[in-house]
Amino acid sequence: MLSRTWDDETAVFFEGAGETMVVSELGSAAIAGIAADCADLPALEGWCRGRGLATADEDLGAGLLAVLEKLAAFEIIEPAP
Amino acid sequence: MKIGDIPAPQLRERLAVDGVAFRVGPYVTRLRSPIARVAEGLHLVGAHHPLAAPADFVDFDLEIRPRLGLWPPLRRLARLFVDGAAPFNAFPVAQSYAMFEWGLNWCVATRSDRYLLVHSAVVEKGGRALLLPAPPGSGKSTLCAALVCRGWRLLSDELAILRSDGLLAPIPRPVSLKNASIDVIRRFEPGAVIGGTAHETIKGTVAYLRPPADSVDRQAEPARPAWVVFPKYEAGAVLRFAPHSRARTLVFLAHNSFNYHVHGARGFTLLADVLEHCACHDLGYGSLEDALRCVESLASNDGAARPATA
Repeated sequence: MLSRTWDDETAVFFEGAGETMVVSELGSAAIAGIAADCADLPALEGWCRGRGLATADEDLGAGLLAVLEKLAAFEIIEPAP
Repeated sequence: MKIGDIPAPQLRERLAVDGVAFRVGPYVTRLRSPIARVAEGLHLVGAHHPLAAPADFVDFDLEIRPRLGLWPPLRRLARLFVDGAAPFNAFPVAQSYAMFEWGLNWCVATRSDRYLLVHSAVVEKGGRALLLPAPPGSGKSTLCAALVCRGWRLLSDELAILRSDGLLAPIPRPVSLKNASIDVIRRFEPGAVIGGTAHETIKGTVAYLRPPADSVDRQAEPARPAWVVFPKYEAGAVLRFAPHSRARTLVFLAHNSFNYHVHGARGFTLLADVLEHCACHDLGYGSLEDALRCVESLASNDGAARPATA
């Protein structure tokens, strides 16, 4: 995956799907977290918090789930069985 | 020697017999046709293009032949051949010159994978290029023609040819004016040379604006992209000029490229690197003069785009 970030948006090229799209800051972090082997939602939340995307008491779970659903819909990620 | 240096009767004869090979941007095209409209169109709007040298490799070999075997009252038809094959349906002979231009577009768009090709007009001033990508009907070609009439160098009204070094290669072909924009440009620049009008084409009424001699003379001189402006003409609209995100610009250019899928990751990186140094804007307008003032002020005040923050 290739990406380029400007301000709070990231353009991403997914080599597997051949797709080019814009993802949010959270989406970009989620993709990077998955690429770094975050295996479940808590791990991914921790990854995103580690990049300053939310404070410790903010709920990231719902936002992350929405992002993951979109990425799956574009076949950019595949939910584990 | 340029096409316009050949007397019209001789040009017509050469087109009908051996064809005429000429250089447009990085390509050499050979055109053959016995049809008078093709010769007239080429002589008028292609006048500044230089003839190719006899040893030059011909990239695109086009021929337009009258279709035989038809009988009145059917309309006279013609057919375009590219390297001997006929990829399109026959068309009315009165549309022959427009069909040549579209055929050449098709050749460049389908056979130039060494470049990244994006559907966009491109003009240049002061060494900095302005891309005007937009869907049909947005006023892209009209704004491009008006800018060219005001002294901007024409690189293309249709195709941004992006080289691997991030520079844009010119392909200064006649500017395609459609429907109301033909009279808009006639009024805007009474001295503009506009060729014969083809009616009832698939794009409506079409005529071609001759590219300025300076643009053709400098067709080997690439330009560095500095701005991407998305024009949107709407009758009566007030001027609106607003930043457009670089990430969304990249996706738009990728989706409006003819061969991004061929370049893949390399194409993404090329577009991203180019956009690091481009300012991107939306331009909504209802007055051509307003739009021109806006673009001119961009060119004189902006000081090109600053490098983006990553």
